[in-house]
Amino acid sequence: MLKLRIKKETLKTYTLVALIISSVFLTGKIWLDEKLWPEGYNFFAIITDKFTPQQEPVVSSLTKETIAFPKTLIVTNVEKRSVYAADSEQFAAMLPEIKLALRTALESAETTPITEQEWAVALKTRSIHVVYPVAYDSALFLNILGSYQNKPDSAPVREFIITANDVASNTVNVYIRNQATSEITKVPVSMSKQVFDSMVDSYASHSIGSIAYSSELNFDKAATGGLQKVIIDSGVLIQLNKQINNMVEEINPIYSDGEFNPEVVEGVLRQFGCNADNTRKYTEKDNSVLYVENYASVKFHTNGLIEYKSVNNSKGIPLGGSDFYGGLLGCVDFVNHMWGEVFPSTPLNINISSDVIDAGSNSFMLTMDYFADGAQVNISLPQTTSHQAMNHAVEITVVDGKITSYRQMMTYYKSAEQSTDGVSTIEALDKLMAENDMQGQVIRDLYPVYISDGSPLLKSAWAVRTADGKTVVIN
Amino acid sequence: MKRFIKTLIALSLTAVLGLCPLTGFAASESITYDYASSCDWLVTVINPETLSSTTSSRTFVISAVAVEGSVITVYSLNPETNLYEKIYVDGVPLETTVGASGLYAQQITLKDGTNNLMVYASNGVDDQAIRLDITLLEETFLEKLWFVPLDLVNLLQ
Repeated sequence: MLKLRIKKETLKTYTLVALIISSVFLTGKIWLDEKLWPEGYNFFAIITDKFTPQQEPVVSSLTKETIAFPKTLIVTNVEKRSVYAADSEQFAAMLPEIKLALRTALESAETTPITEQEWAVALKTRSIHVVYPVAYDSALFLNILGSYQNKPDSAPVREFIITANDVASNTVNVYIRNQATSEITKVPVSMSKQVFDSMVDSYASHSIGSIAYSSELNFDKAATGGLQKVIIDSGVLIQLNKQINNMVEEINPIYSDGEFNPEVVEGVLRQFGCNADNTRKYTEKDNSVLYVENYASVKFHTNGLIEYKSVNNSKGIPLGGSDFYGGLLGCVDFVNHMWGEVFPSTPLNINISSDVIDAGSNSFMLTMDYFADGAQVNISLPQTTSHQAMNHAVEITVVDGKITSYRQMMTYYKSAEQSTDGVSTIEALDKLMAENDMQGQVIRDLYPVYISDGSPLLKSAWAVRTADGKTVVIN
Repeated sequence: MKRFIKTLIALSLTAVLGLCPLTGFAASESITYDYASSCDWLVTVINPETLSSTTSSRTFVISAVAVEGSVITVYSLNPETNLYEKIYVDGVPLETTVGASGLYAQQITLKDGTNNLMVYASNGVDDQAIRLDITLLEETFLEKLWFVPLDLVNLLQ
């Protein structure tokens, strides 16, 4: 009897100890923000989900964080190389570590100037080449990345390379190119060797031979003999083979079957502080509709273009910020908020396309462009009797912290489930040079774009940005 | 009968003349080891930068700048016949007509050891042959170099 009681007590003690250990372990998991089960199983959450009506989340890519999204991440590992755009899982997986490395590098004072040749070598070693769509003022860029350090020596930055340092240390080198002067500096930054190796080993997967840097082909310097007509910057990728490109379909969500969508019109007017019921409305010959109130007008065009204009600079829409940075974030919030209100279930795939350089004033002009299938959409809407030409998704004019003019092509894109045969980069350049006098030009960037010219299906093409700032699309 | 012969001759001449530009541009299947170029201004090879070079990468891209309209063909030396023979990949010769940009790039896969290659350019009238010796270094040695500081890699190159 006594033996049985002792066994029972021992069993109780073991059970109690097991429960205490289990509770400590599970509490630790919660404190460390880990999943309680490897598969993320949560009985209560699943039951709650079953009985809670699902709400469509407002999807948007345009936030303070995403305006600092690179255009491409190019990962090189000896003979392998891959290019990732913002819509890929691999991009999302690498981005937090990369942003942290860039932020630390920009904050650091431990910089060493390096040569163009060292930059070219860094591109072809085990590296991650980070390319932004536009140049950012480095001080402003630090703010966007979440740093509040004020650095007096600000410079426009757009391209970075992260390379391994040496086998023994947990540091990487971040190479930063000054976009205005082309000067390059190297900054050692602490990053776990394991993390860097894992990114390079996992994400560089295609043969290096099919996508080569201009510097690997020596297209970045003038050849002897005078045969070279064009110089291509070292970091520009040359795609050697033809590719099959997906086509995308352009959707005009504001005008269909001969009439404007009233909900969209009301939603847009609300954003500009107008009310559809008590605002004067005029329908023009081309079916565009103009709403006029005391201090502003909003015009809706059948092709999807909306235009807001205040009567004078003091009557614009206040953004809240007192400086350039505040104004910039105000613009981002405005575009984001309007889209979320008008098209709550459609993702807004857009990014800034004009350089983000602090001119020391809260008066500036900002442009944004849509992205589809990882490529920028080049809108090319010609001037009509009803509106000026439109070459961006969004054009915002800010004067003294107020939006005085706002233009947006209200469109979104979805896969057309069709594809076309693309051309190699050199074939595209052949076409460009055959049609334009580019002799002696320096090409700063060469990238795929979709051309939006009014046709419902958009084909992919190559775009070239030259040293004099011109962008030419090769159709 | 005379008329028939005349027509036949005319047709044959048309066919021959019509094919002339094509046959003029098409590079022959093999070129002798000591072939002499007729000019030196059709093409400039820019990668590799020297006629004799080494690389650690099995996949190599030959790049060049050339006169628009010239046809560039890549050959490999057959040591048994001592002839440079046209390289075929998946049954297609490595033959490219240079466009308006004048840029040329061709990816090739190197064999172990020294690869004796020839870049041959022709515009139908003149031609230029450039011999390249590219040695593929043992990967086992160079693959280890990635962890050496970049400055040292730069020095080694």
